[in-house]
Amino acid sequence: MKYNRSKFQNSTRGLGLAVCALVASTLAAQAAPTVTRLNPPSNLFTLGDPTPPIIARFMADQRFDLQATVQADAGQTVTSAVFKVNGTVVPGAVTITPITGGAADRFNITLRATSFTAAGTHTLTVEATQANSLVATGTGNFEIVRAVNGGRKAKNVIYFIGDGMGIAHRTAARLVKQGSYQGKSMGRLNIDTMPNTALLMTASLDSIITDSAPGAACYSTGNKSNNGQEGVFPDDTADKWDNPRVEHMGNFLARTQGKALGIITTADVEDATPASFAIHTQDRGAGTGICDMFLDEAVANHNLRVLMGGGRKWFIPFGSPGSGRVGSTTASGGDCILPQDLATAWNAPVGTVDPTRDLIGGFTAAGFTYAPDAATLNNIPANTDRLLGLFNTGNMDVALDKIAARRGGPAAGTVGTFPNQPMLDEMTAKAIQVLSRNPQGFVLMVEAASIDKQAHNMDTERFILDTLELDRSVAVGLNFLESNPDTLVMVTADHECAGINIIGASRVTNTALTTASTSGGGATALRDPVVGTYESAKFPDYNGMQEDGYPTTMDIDYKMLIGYAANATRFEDWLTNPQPNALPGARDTAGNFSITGQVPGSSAVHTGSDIPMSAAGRGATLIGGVMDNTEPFFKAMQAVIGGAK
Amino acid sequence: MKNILTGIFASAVMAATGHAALYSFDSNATVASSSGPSLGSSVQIGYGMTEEILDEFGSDTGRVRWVFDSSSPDSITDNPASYGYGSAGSSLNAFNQTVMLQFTDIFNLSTFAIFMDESPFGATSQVEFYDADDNLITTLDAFGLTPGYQITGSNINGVSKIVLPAGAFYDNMTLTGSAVPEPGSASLAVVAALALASRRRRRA
Repeated sequence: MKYNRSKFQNSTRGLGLAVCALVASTLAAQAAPTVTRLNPPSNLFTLGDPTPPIIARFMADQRFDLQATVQADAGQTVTSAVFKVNGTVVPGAVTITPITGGAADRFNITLRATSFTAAGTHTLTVEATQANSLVATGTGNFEIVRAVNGGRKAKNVIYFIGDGMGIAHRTAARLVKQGSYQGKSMGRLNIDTMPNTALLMTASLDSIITDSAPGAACYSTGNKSNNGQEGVFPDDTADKWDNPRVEHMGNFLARTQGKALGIITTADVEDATPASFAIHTQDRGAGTGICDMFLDEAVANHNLRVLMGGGRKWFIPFGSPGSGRVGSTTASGGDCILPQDLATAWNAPVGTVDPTRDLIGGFTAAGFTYAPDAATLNNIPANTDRLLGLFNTGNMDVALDKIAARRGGPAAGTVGTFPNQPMLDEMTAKAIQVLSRNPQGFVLMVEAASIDKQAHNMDTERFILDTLELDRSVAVGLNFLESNPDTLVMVTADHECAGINIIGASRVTNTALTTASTSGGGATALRDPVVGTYESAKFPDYNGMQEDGYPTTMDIDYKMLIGYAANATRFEDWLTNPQPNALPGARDTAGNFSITGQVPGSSAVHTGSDIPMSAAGRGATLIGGVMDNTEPFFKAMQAVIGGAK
Repeated sequence: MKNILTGIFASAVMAATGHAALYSFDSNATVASSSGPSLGSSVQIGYGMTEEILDEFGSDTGRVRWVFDSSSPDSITDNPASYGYGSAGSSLNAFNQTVMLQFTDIFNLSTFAIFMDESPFGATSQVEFYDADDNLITTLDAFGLTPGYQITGSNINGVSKIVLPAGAFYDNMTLTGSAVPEPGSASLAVVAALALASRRRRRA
């Protein structure tokens, strides 16, 4: 038979094409796996840019977790992974966990609690291998900072944080406390006497507008966080507790220098600012687990010796009146269970869902003296080494309402239920008394939380008096500094709140203003004849402070007027609200002066402006200029480790 | 001529042999050298601090120099155990402040070694070596978190000051090296030797 070349060629060609198509489709199905997240975060990984600013920075020996998210090919698993720094494999156990929920075939790769000592920028690489031997790689970078030799060390570090306190909040408080006449302020705030000043840039890891969680965690870890997250970098799991961690200042200094840690606030102690000094979670609202972590980790590993504020509800067993504890790790207010690799590496208990836990009992069993009110606090023994103070089931009442009650006035807010709440300066004094018993020194964070909360509510009088309460607390700190010069004191905020500024002063008396507030006249009655701008503002005089350090009344004739640039819609009558936390759209309605908000909702919001930091004491000269809000951590560490003037 | 060169060569050999000293910090007021020839009275040890280096107009140059802190305690030795920083004894106390060693002469250090305290506390930092113009010559890693870590170095030349990091106790420091002769005195020695040689030739 003669061979039919043409037919053979055609059939061979066809077979070849079919084979090629099959190979191509197989290769398409075997698209390479990819690394979709690498922690610590870096512009090198995200943008391909290795140049400064380096996003993640750590002190030498400061521990942190490495983490990567790998998108494997469909149906594939990641069977092995390795992290390398500058080409060298990082020692330690690598854990590979499938991510449930969201996109399929994703894996969470972690290496916990590593640290480095060589200063400078380092390249981080992850290599994750699929079961079919394909490898996903990702490259990022981070920086290690070493303290330099600087002379005398700081023994103690005190952070005062006025939550939401921008420049104008301080100016307004000064005007009330001291007054101004013929162009000169008649005195200073205690904060004003601190010799070193800086401006801090406040953006978080995921926004130009931060919230209080990253806004405080930056001071405690030296690193950025996502909004809502405390002491961690973001990952892709829904688990609130498995995020890659960054070691807190209190933990680091307890471990390396034996220092003690104190956290006090006028908020619920579960709130973002206090929690950001000891807790690691991606959910700032997980109160049950957060408060458990205060005892289970912070007391054990950070040498936490003072914890005070509100938030008693997290510390009393579920079922008890007022308890807020929940029996779930996923619900709002959720409890804490750590993954085993994290628990092992960070020397922390795994935890359990235990809504009926008596956390106050746990603290007292750990040697803490418990104070439920100011009277108990003021009478703690002089040799108290550990102190837990919980003065409200939720946030503590604000200064205006606490002072009014102490003066025998009406019990606004929850003062009637909790009549004996201490002032922040009283809490600060006791915290320092306890912490200074530690011969290795201490780190203390003092938060005036409701400058922010009242600014959100556009309640002028309450945010100003809370700023005065902070200033009185700062006086306690500066007094301690005078006899303990090896202390670094810093006063700052986490962000500015509400775009507050001093717009002028009332051109009418308080009586006239009160009449206008019920006239229903709107802007015609409450803006045009009232708001004095420029020279019409003159010099509001709050008639000095009473012995308790606060004005007799905020409703003076020709009072200072505050505007809100980040406002929600509100009614405004310029008078002190009789109750705190009334909705801005539901109060002051009788005057019918509605100011349209620039933001939706019923609450003013945080702004992105720089905030001031004031510093005094050992190492204060390191604070100055315009700095990122992660920088004070490194300045404080320099003072505490290497020394400074 | 041959005798002068020999003499000179012999002097150079003696200088290159140099000195060795062990400091065990057993006493407080002065640093005790416990064995071997000391480096003489040519080293002072005390608490250090930085001061700004100013230019001829009194403006800050941005550079600093290390100086002794006259306001710091005179005592530089203490018992680490009383601070929770290791076993009892007498050691150099840099717990609260950097310690500085200053040589009257410039020294070429053949070797340097010092032990850090035996506690698990401390930090990773560095010993710094400065020349007479307060320029940093080199650093040696000080891994303070490692109990009993020994910092060692060799062949560090032109040293005027050594700065030990704060936050630790130190003990049993050993130094070997030789002073660097002043350039002026060396020239004078050569001129004197040549003059002597010349006089000898004339006599002959």
